[in-house]
Amino acid sequence: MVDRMEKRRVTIVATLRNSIGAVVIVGIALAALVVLSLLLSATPLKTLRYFFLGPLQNTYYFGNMLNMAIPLIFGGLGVSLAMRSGSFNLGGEGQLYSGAFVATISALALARWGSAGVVVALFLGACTGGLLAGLSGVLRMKWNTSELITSFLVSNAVVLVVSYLIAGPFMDPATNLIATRMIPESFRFTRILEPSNLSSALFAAVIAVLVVHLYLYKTKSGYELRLFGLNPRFAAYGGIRTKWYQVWPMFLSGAFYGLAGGMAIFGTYYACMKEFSTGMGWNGLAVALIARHRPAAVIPAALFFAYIESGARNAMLHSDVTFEIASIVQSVVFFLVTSAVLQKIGSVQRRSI
Amino acid sequence: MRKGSVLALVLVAMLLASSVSIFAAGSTEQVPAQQKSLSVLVYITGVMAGSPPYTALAEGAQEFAAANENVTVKIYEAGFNQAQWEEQLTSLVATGEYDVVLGSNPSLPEICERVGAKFPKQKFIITDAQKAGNSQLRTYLYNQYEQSLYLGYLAGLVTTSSMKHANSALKIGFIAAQEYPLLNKHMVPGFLAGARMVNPAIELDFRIVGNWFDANKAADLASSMKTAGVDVFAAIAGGAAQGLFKVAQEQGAYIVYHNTNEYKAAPGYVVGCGSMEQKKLVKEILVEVLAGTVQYGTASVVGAKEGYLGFFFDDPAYAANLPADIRTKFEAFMADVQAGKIAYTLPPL
Repeated sequence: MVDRMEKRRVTIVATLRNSIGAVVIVGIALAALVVLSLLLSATPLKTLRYFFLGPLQNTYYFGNMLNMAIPLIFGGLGVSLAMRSGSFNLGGEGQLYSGAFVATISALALARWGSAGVVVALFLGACTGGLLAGLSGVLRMKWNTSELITSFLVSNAVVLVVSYLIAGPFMDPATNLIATRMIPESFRFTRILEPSNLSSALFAAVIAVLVVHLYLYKTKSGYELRLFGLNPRFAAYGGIRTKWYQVWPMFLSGAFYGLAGGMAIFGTYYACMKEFSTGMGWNGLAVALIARHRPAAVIPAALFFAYIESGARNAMLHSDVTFEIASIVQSVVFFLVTSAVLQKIGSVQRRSI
Repeated sequence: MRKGSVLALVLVAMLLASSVSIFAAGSTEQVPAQQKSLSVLVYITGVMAGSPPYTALAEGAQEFAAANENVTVKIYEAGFNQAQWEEQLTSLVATGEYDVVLGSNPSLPEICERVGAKFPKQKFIITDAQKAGNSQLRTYLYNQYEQSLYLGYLAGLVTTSSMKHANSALKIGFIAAQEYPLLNKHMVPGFLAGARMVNPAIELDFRIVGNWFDANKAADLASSMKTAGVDVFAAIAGGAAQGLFKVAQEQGAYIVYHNTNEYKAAPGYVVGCGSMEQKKLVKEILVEVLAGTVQYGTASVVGAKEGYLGFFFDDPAYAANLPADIRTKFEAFMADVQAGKIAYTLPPL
């Protein structure tokens, strides 16, 4: 009994120490925001007030902030899965966009299917993202190409193709927006905090975090994936199918991105607009880096990113700063999360799977 | 915990503490009391830079506010991501700070209808768009069929002329950033109809760039069209039109341009520019708003006859770039358009 308590205490302390780097990064990013506001705004106090308090000032802004975090959670989970296996998925932009597009046209085609149609459409969207990322895994397995490069290049090409399809054959002729037709009402997720855009997709995101956590830490396949990520040679020596784990985690990673796209359409936008998801893929990557590839930490990391974006939008709405200030803060976060020195502050020097 | 970690944590805590104290101070900041009788939100669906119609919209409102102390104007640029337009507009309207939202984009009425459903007291006035029957919405549609008709007529005169870069093929071109109802139903048909008033055998080569910024792709399209026999172009392509200006100068082709004065974009090759009196319309709208005489729920079409569409005759480039016989015919045609003597049927949107 005492041993178990001691083990739990050690685990909690280790987790807290491992989080110090992320706290430092967040702190520096927020400090950068304060400095930028003082430099760029004629009314810095007003700007900072709206930046920090804006997202929390009413249910509309708060709900939208949570809603903004949903695709980031899915994207962060996707990147975390790939990174746990030692792979790097840089194709989130294309995987999310194509997943959203396929989910949308599937919903339009399966309009009469009702709830089953929602599941099928989301599944097809996820598969689309998964196949795109999985392709990079296959290329790595077959010819040892860098999945970091191939996923990025494939994604860039796919974004153009999807944009063409939205602006061309699948464009809704009745609207002046560059968008597909709207999905049927029966396919739309329930709004749970009116008048904000927050939908029941939030629950799906939380469930996804639980599922990924259980998969990674409570299943044999998850254990093998993490072992392969830490040491592929040792994994091979232990009889693990290493070729499989060059492809499968990439597929899962892309599938989560594809699912993020589908969720964004079914929960928020209801139609796939051209380039609606620009930046979501990269932000998912940053979320995973802040969370240090731990599924449970993806939620606070995504909330932080959504808070930054929502705060910047509020500051822009109510004061004199432009939206670029949010981009600068996000850039600072991006820059810092790649800093090994900051990431390792306070961390326990023990590698565990 | 290591010494470095402790120092880093202390540093972050100090920075956060300073920021908290700052924003706490900000929370007591008082906005000076003002007597606002009219608060206007100018909602730009994109950015003003590089967009004369949006610039005119904002400037018109600002100039009106400068002349009326009781009018305040906020300009908001919503950026190019269409998916975020509705949420941003909702956020602004939710503040309840604006008596009226002023915008200019064909897609805005559908967005305003959805936002207006959540905020039934909010009023919207949109130019370059058409939607009747919603009591929160007033729209003014520029008669782009008409402008395209007279610019098409000019294109027809040029392509059938003996000007240096005019060829024997009876073919004119239209490059668009994207397809949308106003373009497909008014601008492109109007342009061709105008050209065919000169010669019914004239054909139109219509191409799509796919976005509003890819000048290289627009240049590729223009080059391909030029090879196919097009010698006079029109473009509704935003920044991408720079590619057309480049090709026109390098390969020799003429351009007629909608809405703004672009003679200097390709000197000697832009032979005609239509005008859109956005600033004038905005000021007239705001006079009505101030007087409380706006007829919400109605939609108007404004064109050359009403004085909201025209042509830049007074630019020296116009006379320099076109031979006298073409100018004479075109000016006579324009006079007829402005007098309402040219018969045409405005297609429904």
